Amino acid sequence: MRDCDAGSRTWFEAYLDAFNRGDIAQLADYHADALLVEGEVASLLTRKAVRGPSRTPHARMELVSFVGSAERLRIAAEIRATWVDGSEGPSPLDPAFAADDRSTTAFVFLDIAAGRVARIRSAPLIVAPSA
Amino acid sequence: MNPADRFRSYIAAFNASDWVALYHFYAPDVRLVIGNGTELVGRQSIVEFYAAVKTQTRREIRIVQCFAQNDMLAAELESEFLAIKDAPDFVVRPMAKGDRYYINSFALYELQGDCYSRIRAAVLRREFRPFTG
Repeated sequence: MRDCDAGSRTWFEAYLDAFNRGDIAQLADYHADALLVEGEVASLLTRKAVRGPSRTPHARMELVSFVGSAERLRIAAEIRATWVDGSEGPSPLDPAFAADDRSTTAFVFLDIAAGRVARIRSAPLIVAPSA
Repeated sequence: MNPADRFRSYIAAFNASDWVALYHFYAPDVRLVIGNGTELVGRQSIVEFYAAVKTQTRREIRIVQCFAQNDMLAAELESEFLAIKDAPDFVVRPMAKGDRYYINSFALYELQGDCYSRIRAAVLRREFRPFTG
């Protein structure tokens, strides 16, 4: 993916695809050297590139909604993270992790600088059961 | 008015407790999910909810950033509630007069024409700041 595509939906979809394929080299290419990370889903997204696959919980990321800024320096995305069967250890996605469907949804905001993700933050979307 | 400017007007109406103006920013069948997962349906319900919250607290929302694409707007917001009286039943947590509650949140607004038809918020950071005198 070229740097000039940075910030586009296509560019971001390729980022999630790299995560889902476990393509650590491509994933690492997306990240700035001084990447700032905050939030559980954001940590999960970036951990694979930082720590390598053997210590990475296995989840799939699905893009639900996408909003990109006009200057392509900011992205807001709604992402559904699904814990894959057979993964080791407890889910890192609590407290929003739903035991029944093994997935959680988060809003993820990214700041992009020089064609790389400079900051990624996520907040869990909580939907209370209907009364 | 572009979506970002309209959003600034919406937040200004909220901060000014201008419920009549606020009402007209929402589609009739709007659905709002606030940060704790509570869902409100319909613009009258939303306005009544916010008006009730403001009988217990003073709340100011600050837009950290907002941007729009197609029929969606994304916003990062900072909000602080200041309890103006004891509020043991406050929506977030019990508050005593003078307590403050800070929230940094992400929100997605779905647009139907000029109106918000679906709003969902997720909390990135929250901090209870008790009154210290």
